[in-house]
Amino acid sequence: MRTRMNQQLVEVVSGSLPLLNNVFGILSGMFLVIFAGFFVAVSPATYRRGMELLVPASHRALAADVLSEIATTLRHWIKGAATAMLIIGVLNAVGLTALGVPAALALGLFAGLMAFIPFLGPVLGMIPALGVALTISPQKALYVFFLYLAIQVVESNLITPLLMKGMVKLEPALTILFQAFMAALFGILGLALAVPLLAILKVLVNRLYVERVANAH
Amino acid sequence: MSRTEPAPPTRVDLAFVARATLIVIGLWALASGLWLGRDILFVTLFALLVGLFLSLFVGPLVKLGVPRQVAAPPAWRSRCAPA
Repeated sequence: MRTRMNQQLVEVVSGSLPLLNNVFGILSGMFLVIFAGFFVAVSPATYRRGMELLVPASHRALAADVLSEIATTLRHWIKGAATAMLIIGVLNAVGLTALGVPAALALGLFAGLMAFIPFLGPVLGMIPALGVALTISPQKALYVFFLYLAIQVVESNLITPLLMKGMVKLEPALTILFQAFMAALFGILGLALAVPLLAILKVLVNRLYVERVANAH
Repeated sequence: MSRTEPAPPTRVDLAFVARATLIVIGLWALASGLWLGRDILFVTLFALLVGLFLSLFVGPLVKLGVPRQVAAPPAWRSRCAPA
């Protein structure tokens, strides 16, 4: 029973990613991500130039333009997401402390981390807090539900629209469907990467296909 | 009233079929390659996001006059230094 539950948990987290479905794989993956991320931050121009050189000389200017647009889009998105995560984490931790829910800081941190995933993240972030509150009383759980609802309303109507101003617009239906597709294929990791990947794909399709077709007519 | 002429039928010759087959095989090979390397692609995309997140802090520091590689350990600096 326990082994089966562990196996199912691994499947939910890593989906069909074979290298990342055990503790060693996840740790080495995290190590790779952090170090590769540091190297990219130390000298981004080197990697960018390398990617441009992979494209034939006749299309290099377009490639540079597209890469620049992708970098700007992702930078706007990550800036917005990081700020939203921080604000949501702090608001949740403060609210849960005020309501007297145990482990408020950890639950706030989890809710902040889940805010990385648009639309579905807030629901996932609310589940453990509701569980903890239910161990005290159903009334407390109701208060926690309204707290998350209020924070979600403020976040989606005030914070996110302000933060995501410069980013390429992603249609909500398309985003949710793509999130479902990525979650079905790759589990929670796929869900976490769905929005940045969709933003990249949208820039690529716009620049390499839609604009060309529009110019041809 | 003007009536538009129907478009002439497209000729399907061997070259057209060969080209279409090659495109389908190419797309299938690309999709298979992406599927085989999905772990590495995930790690790369996460690393790119981490790099972009860090560059949000590196950019303002560089503007303040701090050298870009000042936070990196010496081993990194020697590897990242331009030739």
